[in-house]
Amino acid sequence: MGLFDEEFLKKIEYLYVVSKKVFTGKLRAERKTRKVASGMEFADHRNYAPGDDFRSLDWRVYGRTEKLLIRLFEEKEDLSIYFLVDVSGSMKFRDEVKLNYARKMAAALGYIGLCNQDRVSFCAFNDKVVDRLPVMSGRGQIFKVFQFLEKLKSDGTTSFEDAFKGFAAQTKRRGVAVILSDFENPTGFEKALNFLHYQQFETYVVHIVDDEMMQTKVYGDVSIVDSETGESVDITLTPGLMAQYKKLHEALCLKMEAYCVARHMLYFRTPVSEPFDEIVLKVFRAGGFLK
Amino acid sequence: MIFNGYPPSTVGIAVVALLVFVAILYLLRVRRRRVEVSSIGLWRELLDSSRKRRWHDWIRRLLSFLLCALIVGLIALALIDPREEIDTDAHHHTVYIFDASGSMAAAATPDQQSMHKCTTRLECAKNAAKGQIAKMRPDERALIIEASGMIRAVSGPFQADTSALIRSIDDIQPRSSSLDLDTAIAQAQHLLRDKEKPQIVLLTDGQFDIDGDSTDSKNNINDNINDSTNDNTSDNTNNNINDNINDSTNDNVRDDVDNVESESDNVDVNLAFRNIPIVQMTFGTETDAGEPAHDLHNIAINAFNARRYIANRLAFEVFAKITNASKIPVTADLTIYALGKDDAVYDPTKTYPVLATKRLTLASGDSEVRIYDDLPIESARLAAKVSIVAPDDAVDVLALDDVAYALIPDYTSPKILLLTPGNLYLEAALLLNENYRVTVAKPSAAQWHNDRGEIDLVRAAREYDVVIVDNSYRNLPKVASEGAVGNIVWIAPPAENAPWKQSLVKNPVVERVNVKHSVAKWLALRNLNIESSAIYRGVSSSDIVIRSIEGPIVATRERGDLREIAIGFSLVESDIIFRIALPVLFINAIDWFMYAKAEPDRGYETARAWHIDVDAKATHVDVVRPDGTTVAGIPVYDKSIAFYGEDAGFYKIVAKSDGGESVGERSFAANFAQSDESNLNRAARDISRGVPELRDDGDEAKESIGVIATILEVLPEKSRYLWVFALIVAFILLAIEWALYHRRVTV
Repeated sequence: MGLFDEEFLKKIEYLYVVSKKVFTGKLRAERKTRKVASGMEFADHRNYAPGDDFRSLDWRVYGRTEKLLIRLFEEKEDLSIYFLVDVSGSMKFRDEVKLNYARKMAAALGYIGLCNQDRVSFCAFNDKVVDRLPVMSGRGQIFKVFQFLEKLKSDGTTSFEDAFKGFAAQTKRRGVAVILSDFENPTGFEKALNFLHYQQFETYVVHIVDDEMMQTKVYGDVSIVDSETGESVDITLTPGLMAQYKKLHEALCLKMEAYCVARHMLYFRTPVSEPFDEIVLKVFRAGGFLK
Repeated sequence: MIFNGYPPSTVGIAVVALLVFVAILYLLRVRRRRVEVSSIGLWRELLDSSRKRRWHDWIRRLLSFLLCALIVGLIALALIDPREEIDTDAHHHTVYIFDASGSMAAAATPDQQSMHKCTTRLECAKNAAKGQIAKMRPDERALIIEASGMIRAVSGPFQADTSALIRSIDDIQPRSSSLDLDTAIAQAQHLLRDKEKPQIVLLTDGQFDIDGDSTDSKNNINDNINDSTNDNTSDNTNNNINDNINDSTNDNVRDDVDNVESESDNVDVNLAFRNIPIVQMTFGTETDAGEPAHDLHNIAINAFNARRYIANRLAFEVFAKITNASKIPVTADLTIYALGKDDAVYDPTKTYPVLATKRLTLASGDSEVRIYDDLPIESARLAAKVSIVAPDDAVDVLALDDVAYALIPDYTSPKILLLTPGNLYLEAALLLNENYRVTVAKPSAAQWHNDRGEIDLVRAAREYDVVIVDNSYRNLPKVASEGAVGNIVWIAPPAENAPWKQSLVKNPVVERVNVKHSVAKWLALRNLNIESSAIYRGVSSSDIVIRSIEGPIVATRERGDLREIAIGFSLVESDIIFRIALPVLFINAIDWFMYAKAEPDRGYETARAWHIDVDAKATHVDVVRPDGTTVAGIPVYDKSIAFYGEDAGFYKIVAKSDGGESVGERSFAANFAQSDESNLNRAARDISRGVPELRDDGDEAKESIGVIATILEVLPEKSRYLWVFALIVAFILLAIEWALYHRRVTV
């Protein structure tokens, strides 16, 4: 258990404690859906319509007003949180530093979710859903999560759209979708995020960035090889070109952030050099999905 | 197109291998470093903006490879050395004559030493010639001659292969002889007789015998040394030159030639010798003023020999002559060493017994003769060495003449058998020389008789070096002499034993003593009274020792290995017994038997053709030189061989018969003893001080000057191997280009 060692466990426990302090006063593990159904807590009345269950008629109101009204109750329902971890070839760059980062992020957030009695599920994808951990709940399930995350291998090309379509098809219950990826996809991300949004998933985007490439000292004529596809491009690396590259990368990140904000998606850009626990706290402070 | 370098097939294989190697290196070089990134999408976008650079990169890569291939090709061309094939008739033909005389072993001037990176004159000459040959043009052919006392063409026929020519130059060594310039020039002329554009380059120190008569030159030089002036020599030399070449002075031509001369310090341009232009390059001396470039100190052993006294061959004396050839007085040590019996030369690294040493102070040009008659006999092989001890800064520049060798002749006491009934006069005469081992026996002694009671002279002559048969008392038993081999003295021999027919005469009067005969040396026989004597008939005049009016009364005869002396009269019947002539006659007779045919006690002078007598049975001879090399199979002609020796030291000759069996060995010493070569302070002789051979209209002179000017263009010492440095620079540039190719250093 190299990745999720004792220190990691201490950290996620600490994060869980911190999350409880941050959300003091809130009901623990209780997320209310807007679904009105046969719950115990009265919510409202509506007019009777043929076919309604007579047992739901509020006879007292009928006695006073002679109007047939149906009593409506709020139904309690646990929140479903889906962690979508990108395991494409690009994630294995530099000894899977990005994938490891995604694993830790997913494990930490998942642990907090499990502790909150949320329904937590994990899904690995590249151009399709590669593997999936069924929905589970309760703190005791965290080791299954660790095993699932540890056995993930990064490989293949990325296709968010195809992968998310597959994910949505397999998931009947909507909920929160947390996407952990480097978003190094030549076909773009917009359509895929749109798809999740319209499938009524509350989408959170965690953009994992490897900032090592930005600080390279390798200059001269080189052959740049795509770790995902194996394609190469001959290029002469110069400081000027690197500056252009950084600008281009920053522009891409800003574009993605703007896109997410415009669609009420939370976007987090996290360099791998930054400790994952800080990012988790950042997610908390941003009023994220864990409250 | 001709190829002067390595064979094209060989170079082709090497080039293919090199090209493969270069191609591998090129492929390694153009292979870019792989940098893995998570995605190249952004890089593609960047690359699209700079896509126009690909052409530049492609051309750069191609040019780089082409440059490598070009360098390989140039190396191949340099190795093959292709040259334009020109009609051979149009070739320039140059004969390089290297003066390899002894004086060329002397040190060159400091300027020349630094210019040519050499020490001796010959080394400087060789380096200068190599520089010229290395820059030979395709239409040039050259031939190398080593000239000393003997002329050798060391490079084979005319050729353009500079490497072969340079290799042949390396083999040239200074010889212990003077330069026979006449023969060298004649050889060169002969070689150039049918050649187009001939020329001769003479590399010398300018000290040679222009008339080829070394004896005369030596005398002149010795005179000059004594007079401390060289004027006469120069004049004589110039006169000799004028005799040898046509004296047709042309002032205009001389002016032009002088102008050309001024272009180089040690190059003289000469127009002479049958219209063949000659360039004289002088080393070790300057020719402009005819003065030595600097004081050249040299002290020489001009003569060194050992001989035994004739009267007492047990004793010997050693003779040495030392000359100061420097321009200042010098003090030198003369040391005589006893070398080992197997030492052929003096080795300065070894220690030898010193027999004598003497410090000599000699004025400039002076000589001193030293005679040693009391040296201990440590060894038959002697070496004399002279070295300057004062002044301190005087350095002997010529080492060749500092060591000389002498061999003390072998000597063994002759065994003499005297068969006499009791002739005390005769015994006393023989006992006067204590070196003789005389055995006296009576003719009647049975010891020397054969089965028939006759004296067995055959056996006696075989066992003794000399047998004296005395019949002075006329009572000699019968002598069996048929088939005898050896040395026999007959005194009043019986008619049957006499070498010739004889007749008796009374009171003969001595008419003449043949002083040319070695047996008659120092004999005074005037008024010799003889009672009676035999007169010998049929004796050739050269064999007659003493002749009376009636005919020969003492004569010698050689027949094969039998040598006889017949004295026709009884000793006791004449008054010779009271004269000193009697022992002298017998000493002469014994010397004639023992040494008449022996080589005289003399050394040999190098650079001469030696005629060496060998055993009569020998058909060929092997000569072992001082350096240990052997010249085998020298044929014997008329009991002697001719051998040209060039090295000082001890030689050994092994005489062999037809079957290859050794029939005798002997050694002798040879010395470099040529005072003209030792005298380094002679003015260098410029053969151009003679005048060019010109036609009347002078056109030939102009043409010759043109040829000479062409030669001079290539004379300055410049390395032909600049291309090597250019190649190194090219490789360095390639290495830099290699390092910067991917711009990992500059970007």
